[in-house]
Formats: sequence, C-alpha cells, structure tokens
Amino acid sequence: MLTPSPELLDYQAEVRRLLARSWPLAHSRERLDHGQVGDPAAWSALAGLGATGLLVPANLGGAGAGVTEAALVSEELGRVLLPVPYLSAAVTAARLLAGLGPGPARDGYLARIAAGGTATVAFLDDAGRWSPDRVAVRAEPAGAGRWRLSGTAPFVADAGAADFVLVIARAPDGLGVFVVEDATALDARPLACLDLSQPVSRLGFDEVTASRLTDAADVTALMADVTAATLACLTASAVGSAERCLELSTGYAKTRVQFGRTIGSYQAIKHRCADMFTLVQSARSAVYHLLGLLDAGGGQGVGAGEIALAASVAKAHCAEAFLRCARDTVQIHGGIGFTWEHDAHWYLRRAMAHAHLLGDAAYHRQLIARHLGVVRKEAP
Amino acid sequence: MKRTIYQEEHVAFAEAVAAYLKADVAPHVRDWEEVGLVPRETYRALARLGALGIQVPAEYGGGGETSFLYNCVLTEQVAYARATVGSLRVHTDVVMPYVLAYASDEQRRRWLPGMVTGDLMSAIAMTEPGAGSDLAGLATNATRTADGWLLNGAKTFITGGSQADLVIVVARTARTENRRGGLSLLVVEDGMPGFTRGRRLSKLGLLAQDTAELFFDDVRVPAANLLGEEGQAFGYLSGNLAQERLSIAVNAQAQAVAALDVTVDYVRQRNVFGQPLASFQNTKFVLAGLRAQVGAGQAMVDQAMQRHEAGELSPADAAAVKLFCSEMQGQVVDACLQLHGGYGYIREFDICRFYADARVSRIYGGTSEVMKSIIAKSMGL
Repeated sequence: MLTPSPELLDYQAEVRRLLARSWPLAHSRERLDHGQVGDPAAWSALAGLGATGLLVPANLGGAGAGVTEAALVSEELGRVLLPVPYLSAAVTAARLLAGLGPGPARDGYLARIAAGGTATVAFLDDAGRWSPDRVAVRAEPAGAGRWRLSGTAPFVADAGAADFVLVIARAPDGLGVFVVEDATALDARPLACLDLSQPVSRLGFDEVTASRLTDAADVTALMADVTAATLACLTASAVGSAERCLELSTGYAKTRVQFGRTIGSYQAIKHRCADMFTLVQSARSAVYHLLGLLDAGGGQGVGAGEIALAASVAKAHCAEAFLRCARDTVQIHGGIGFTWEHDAHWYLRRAMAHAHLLGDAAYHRQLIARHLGVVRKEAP
Repeated sequence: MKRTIYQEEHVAFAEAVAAYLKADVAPHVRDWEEVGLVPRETYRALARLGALGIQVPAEYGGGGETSFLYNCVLTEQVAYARATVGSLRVHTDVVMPYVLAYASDEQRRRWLPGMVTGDLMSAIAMTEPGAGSDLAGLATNATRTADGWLLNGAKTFITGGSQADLVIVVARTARTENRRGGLSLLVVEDGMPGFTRGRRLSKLGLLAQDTAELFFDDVRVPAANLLGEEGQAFGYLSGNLAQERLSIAVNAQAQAVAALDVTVDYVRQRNVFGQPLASFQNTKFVLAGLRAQVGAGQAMVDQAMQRHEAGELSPADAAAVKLFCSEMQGQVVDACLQLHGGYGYIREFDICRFYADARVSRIYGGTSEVMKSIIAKSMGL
C-alpha cells in the first residue's frame, strides 16, 4: 500500500491551500448559479501548479509523475467539487496518450494538456462503463490517412470544454484511438445531470473526420490500464469529498445546540460521525492500495489482474462510503441540510453520480467475485 | 399495538399454558439444555393441558378444534415465558396435520390417542445428507415386498428423532419421469428391526431440542403403515408448507418480542458510567428502532394467521412472512445481545440463548434464499 512521501503531502497541502483560498465551493456555486460552465481561471491556476501535466512525460512539459500525484490532486478537487475537467483531461486523456508511445501527433496533444489545454475521452458505454465489446462508434478509412467516425458515445464528461476529443472507435482492423480536433463538428447534447458540477454530454458522430493515433497498439490492454488509473483518481476524489462531508458534519455537530446541548453530545450524532470517520479512513486505504499497485506496475511483477481487482475493490467501497457520508451529512444537518443554500446536496449529487461512473458497487463486486472464481459468467 | 387476532378462549388457553411453563418448565431449561432434550413427562403434562391434541377429534381424546391459532398461542407463550418445549412443535404443527389429513381410520385409531397423550411422540424424516429443500432429490428408497415395504436409506437433522416413537419417513417408492413423483410416506415405529438412531447432533442453538440422524437398513415396514396414497408424498408435503412456515414465523416473531422484553428489563437495571444503561441515547434509539421493527413483524404475522384461518394463505405469502420475521428476529437478537455487553455472551443470560436459537430461523423450513426464490417466482420472475 502507498505511503505518501512528505514531499507529496506538502504538494497536496499546497493544492489544498490554493483551492481553499481561491476556489472554494461557494465560488463555484456562484458561477454555476449564473450558468457558467467550467472554470477556466481555476484550470489555468492548476496548470500553473503543474497539476494538469502530472501524467505527461517531462520532455513534453509535464511532471512525468505517477498516478499517485494525480490522485492526491483529485482528492483535493473532490473536497471543493471544483468544476474542472481534471479527470477527463489530466487523468484519462493524459494516461491514454502517454500509453500510446512517442510520436509527433501524440506528443503534441500531451504537451497541450501539460500547458493547460483541455480534452476528454469518449469511451464509456451505455451503462457508463468501459467495455471493449460495447464500443458504439465506428471508424472507416476516408483516404489520405484520414478517418470518418460515426455512431454515438452516450456519456462523455466535460465534452463542452474540450479543446480536442479522443475517441475509442471500432475500425475494420480492431479498436483504435482517434482524435477529433474540431469539437464543433460533433453533435454534442449536454445531458441534464443530477451532479451540477460535472457536465456530461451525449456525443453524436455523423461521419466526423478524425485522425488515428495508433495502428497496432493493444487498445484493450491500454484501456484497462487507463480505466484503473481513472478509477484511482475518481475514488481519490470521492475520498476527498467524503472527508469534506465529515468535516461539515463534525463542525456543525460541535456548534449546533438543541435541547440545551450541542448535538454532537448526543450518541445518535456522535456515533454517526464516528462511522463516517471509519468509512473515510477505510476508503482512503482502498485507494492507497490501488495506487501502490499502479505505481509499482510495469516490470515489478504486479499483474493487470491484480490492479483490476484493487480498482474494483476501491470503487465498490468508495462509492458506497461516499454515498453514506453524503447522506449522513444531510441527516446530521437536519432541515438546514435539506435546503438549496446548504452545500450538503452538492456532495450528495456528486456521490450519486460517482456511484455510477465506471460501474457501480454491485458491478464491481461482481467483477471481484469473478476474479475470485466464484462466478463464471461474465458480469453484465 | 393491541392485537385483535385472539378471542377469549385463546386468552384462557394462553394463561393456563403460561402458568405451567413459568412454574414447571422455565426453571429447568438450562438442565434440559445440558442433556439435550425435554423429558417425556413434560410433554405428558402439556398434553393434560390439551396442548398436544388441539385439532384431534374428541373421539380420540383431542380438542376437536379446526383453528391453528391455539398452536400459535402455545408457541408464543413458550417464548414469552423464556421456556422451551424441545421438539414438541414438530409433533403438533408438522406431523399431526399429516396424520389428521391422510391416516386411514385404522391408523387414526392406532396412533391418535397416543399422540394426544404424549405416549406416542412423532418426528418427520425428510432431510437427507444430500437433500434439503430439494425434496425431489431424495435418495432413501423403499421397495415392495409381499406384505409391505423394505426401507433403506439415511436421514439427518431430524428434530425429535432421538426420542420419537413414530417417524414419518419420506421415501422414494418408484422412479418416475416426473422428479416429484414416486415419493411416499412410510411410518416407521420405534423398535422395528433395522431402524437405528445415530448420534444426537450438537448444534449452535436450540440445545433442548434433540436433533438426530436416523438410519434405515432393510427395515420391513408393513403395508398398514403407508400414510396416504403411494407416490403422492410430494403433493402432501408441499401442501402443508405454508402452515409450517407460518409456524416458524410465529415463533421467530415471539422470540423477538421476548428478546426485546428481556433487554428492556436489563438496560433499566444495569448501570454504566454512573447512570442506567437505559438513559443513554444509543440504548433508547436502538430499542425504539427494534420496537418499531417488532411491531411491523407482529402486524404481518397476525395478518398471515388470519389469512391462514380463512384458508387463504398462499405459499408466497407464507414465504414472505417467514422471510421477514426470521430476518427481523436475527437483527433484534443481535442488537439486544450487543446492549447486554459481555453478559450477553454468557449462557446464564436469556439473551444468549435467544441469540443462539435465532440463527436457525433463517435456515429451517427453507432458507431465506429459498423463500426469496418462492416469492420471486410468484412475481413472475
């Protein structure tokens, strides 16, 4: 299991300070209330801290760091629910591009992400998961090294703000990684989502021109790695959000007085807070376990199966832990926790969205069962 | 909530039974748990109160009732008195209905009077080492002889098996296309050559209820001991499942009520950190939550009893009430034991026994998973 170094924790603390000072949830809520999507200034500040290029190799302007660093940043972003495309661009897209191996086109895109460009990856199936045999976008050769994409990507996060869109599509010779430079060529329909801080669109490809970034790479294996890295940062973000819920709850429990006593002195409240604390700690352990394997991966005897198992454990546990913490935060706050003005519902919305992204807890438990050999049939 | 299921006569029966259980049973429970069964004299004493032959016609010494409610009263009072009646409920709630429904006049004359007085105690042998709820998979078999049947096989988990005078054995008497066909009920009597009893099985709970393995090695069962018609056992057995499951639900519910009662008593007299355990919010909230659950269970059980009296309790309804009440009982005894702290882990305390006894409710009479399968099937799934 990962033990973060003092330097790493210092870096995380610096990100936390920046976000708390300049981009607290109150700030994001204000922008979202006024219909502003995303937060370019916040994104630039993160790029300034090197946070967007953590997974980009050093020679391309990035930090050449591991998933751990990106996960710790994700945890901080989860605390404030900052509406930036961190997971889409700095994690999923960057990890995917980095896994393709050097080449002028791929290097250019990575450099753009490191410099504060935005991107997203169209890869989720109609259940919001990654499954190689359910890729619904098809690619046909269009001559002169160009390709035409058609089909629909049902759920694509942060598509509206993306400078370019990476697409996993089915070509005649198998799955390939494609890039659409002109996002305006896509039929992007923003979906009305429960989580107001994380925009999701449905992307329609109607003979859209694209270029192909790889011919022969094993896209299925690559995407398994990208999914595990994405899950690590997604679950880390859930840990940050859940911990923030705990802080909101304990803070309120210590100051709110009912029947002449602070409500935190009642067992009904203090036990709930203690349960939340336990959930946050165990959730963080599950994420650290996954991060430890991911950063050791490649040549140190950590198999893809072991990483996938740890990713499923983390998702199954963190999804439910975060949801429980968010629900208890509403309950502990009583009536005020049910109001629009309070932040509690923002965390609850995020928790419900997170619970489903890349597979819900039941799905991941099924993958775990399959890994243990107790079920033979494919997970649905 | 006030219960409305019982009439005056049920209340009178409840009072009589409760007085006996408190005076002559509850004080002996721990001794009987040590030996692993309830003495025959207790069954005879309960018989004198009319508890064994409730539905048996008066001509055989019974009460001639049609209602199942008296059986429910007995089950409840045993729980409320923190007593035990060992394997009696199998005799009264499970075996008796088969004898009453399917025995010939000659068989009724031969068995019912003894069954009513407690001189003939009974058991039913369905489960085998390789087959539980899947009755169709039974391997015990009987082949025809000139004057009856030759029975071979082994049964396990047989409640009351070590002291039963009559054992209704479910045996395969023919191989048929239909897996459910070819099963018959044969009554094996104590002392028949080839009929032996194995060890009394050591269990997690229900320590005063004997549970045995039974072996049948070329047992000659006379033709006169075939109960009902040959090959019809599957239908007979499934026909009574709803009542058997209701009986388990009634017991689970009553045990939950009793567990909650002993716990409320306990937390009121136990002091921790200088104040009564009952004064802590967690104690109040946990017990209040359980009270609501137990109330819900009671409403469901009472409703099911009423439907059963009207002959309208469907198999799926019975499965649902058994599922709900046994799961609820499990949650109640667990939370109640936790409130007892270390003492809850000591057998001297009633809650310890309630906890251990509760575990099988979710297993016998069909597991919770089997109940869910039945319910799901009734939903067209």
